Amino acid sequence: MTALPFALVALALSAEPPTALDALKAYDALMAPPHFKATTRMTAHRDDGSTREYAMTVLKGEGDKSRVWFQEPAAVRGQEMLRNGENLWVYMPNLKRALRLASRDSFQGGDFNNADIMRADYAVDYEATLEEDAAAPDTWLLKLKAKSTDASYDAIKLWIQKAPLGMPVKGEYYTASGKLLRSAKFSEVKDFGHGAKRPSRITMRNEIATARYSELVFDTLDVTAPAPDSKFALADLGR
Amino acid sequence: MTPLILLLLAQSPSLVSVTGYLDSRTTTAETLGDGAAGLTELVEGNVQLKLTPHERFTVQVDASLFWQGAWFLHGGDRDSPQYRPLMVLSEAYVDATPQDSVRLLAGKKRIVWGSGLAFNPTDLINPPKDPTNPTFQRTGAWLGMVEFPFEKVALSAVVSGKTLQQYAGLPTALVWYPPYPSFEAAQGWVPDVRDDEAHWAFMSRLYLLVADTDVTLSLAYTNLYNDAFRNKTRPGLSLSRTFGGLELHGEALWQTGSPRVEVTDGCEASPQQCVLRGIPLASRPYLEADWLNVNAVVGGRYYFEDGGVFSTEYFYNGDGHDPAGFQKLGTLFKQYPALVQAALGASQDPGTPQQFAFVPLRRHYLLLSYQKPQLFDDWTIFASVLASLEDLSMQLVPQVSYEPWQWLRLTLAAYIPLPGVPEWGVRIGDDTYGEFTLSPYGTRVLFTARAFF
Repeated sequence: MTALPFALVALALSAEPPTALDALKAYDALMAPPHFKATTRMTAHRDDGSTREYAMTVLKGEGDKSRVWFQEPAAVRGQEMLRNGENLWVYMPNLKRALRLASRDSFQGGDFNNADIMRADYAVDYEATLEEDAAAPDTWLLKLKAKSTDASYDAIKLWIQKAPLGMPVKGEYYTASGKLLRSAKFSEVKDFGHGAKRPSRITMRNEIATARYSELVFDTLDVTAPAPDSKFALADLGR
Repeated sequence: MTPLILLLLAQSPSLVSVTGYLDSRTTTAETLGDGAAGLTELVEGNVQLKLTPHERFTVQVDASLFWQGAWFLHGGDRDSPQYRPLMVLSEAYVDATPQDSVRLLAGKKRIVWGSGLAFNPTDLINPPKDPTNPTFQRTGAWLGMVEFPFEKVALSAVVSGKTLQQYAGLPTALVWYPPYPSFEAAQGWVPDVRDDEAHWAFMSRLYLLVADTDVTLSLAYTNLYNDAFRNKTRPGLSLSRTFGGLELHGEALWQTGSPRVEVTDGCEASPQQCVLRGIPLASRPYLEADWLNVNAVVGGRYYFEDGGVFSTEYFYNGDGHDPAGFQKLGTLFKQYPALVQAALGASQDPGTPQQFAFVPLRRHYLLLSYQKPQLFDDWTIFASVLASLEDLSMQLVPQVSYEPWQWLRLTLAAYIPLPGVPEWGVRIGDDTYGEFTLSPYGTRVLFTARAFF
């Protein structure tokens, strides 16, 4: 797992601009290491200025697999979400069972959608082009176009640092008609150890209801935590 | 488990997880039949405890204490057994994973393998649920399970014993009746329904994640479990898949014959005469029939970009009545509801008290529901309608919820039965009734306050 960061450094030091795919893979590698366990908090800021807070544990496995356990608030404690490829389920403790969900559904009613939390492997879902941005010379502008309607957004613009390559600065998320849905700011880069250095705070603004925004904070991120396949089985939900 | 061990566990939050709620449900109702309550209050204290002394071993308990009161009963206030305080042990089980792909579970647990949300034809062991709000039913069955779960495949086998007698939420007879009658039966207060048969079920399933589709093949064997079938083997199939924002699912159970109750010709009009002449009021003539029968549901959910969810399910009840059979059963039910309920059979463990008890008597049903959360941030509107497609009678449930804080949810709901097309319903004298207006209740209004902890 150490080969990829060296490759990223080599890319960053290279005089040649990276390919769009290399830049996108660099972003994916930073934001979604092959496997990790993280404790996170999400704060949803609402129109009236009040907030709703959630605490959860996220486990990401090899490939496109992830699982979330909700600890707070009490009303959703015991709820879980599981992603395996294109498949997304939510385990509802009051139903004692799991239901299938759509990726585009809002994550706990905040301004992230399910795929924002449960899936960050953009290289799989999007075709990318890379551009310079005269307004931000230290960054590359990655323009992403969804390969299928199953992707969480139809188009994304990502501004990533040239060095270290892939470190995100901000993002914009669009509908097929080009309407801006959400915008993200990535901040507070933190070294979580074992080579995991990435923004620990993501602020997602709702561009439709502009008074609303949500913040996702990573308190811990352990890239050495085991993530066995058994944790990503539908039958394991609710245990 | 000693108090000291409990104390040590409680001091380790990674080992112990406790959650639950305190819930108050106040219902006012238009009463139409004897014994129906005009005002009821139900207070539930629920605790869900999860102990994880080892990452491969958990103990989970979900228990509720209910206090109930009923006033303004149709026909005069009196003591009603169904409104007494009770305890419901929804789940209590140990769950062990000796190896990554081997799971052993024993205790009481609600296991639902089918993809239906309001209706689950392949669920043969759990207490019934309210299709207009399945979250009201949390209770499972006493069982043992062996499961071999893999990432995209799971093989499960369950053996379950039926609760034949229980007190304070705990069973005193599982699988077999005791050799002596219950105290109430001995006193003649309730009929002695004992037999010497084993009441049990075996269920197995193969789950596959194929082409992004949940596929569940099941095979069940039951003997006098939640229906009158003896030695009955039934295969089932369940599918579920999402297409963008649309989820589609289907679930079906095949069987030979039917446990349907048929009222003897003429007895619906004058049951006393039948009793005097020794003619059984009703029978189950198709229990041993060899024709193929099916109970099935197809449905879908659409997730809107704004968080709204539209859900629909069509339920085909192969055990339902044709118009003539329903006319006879409905006529008898309207006059002698307790008699018919006894004939249809009631579970000894009905689980959590339900706001709307659904016993499908006809063959075709449609459920439509729509939920829109986060209206003005803290408001959720929900509406569902359950319709009998054969007389177009329906149960309409509009609902609005408000969450002033994350720990408190206030809900106002109405349960409105609509009679449908008179010509297609049950005619008794000059009156006609749809399937959903046979109940002794007219419109009910429910206010719920639930505080989570």
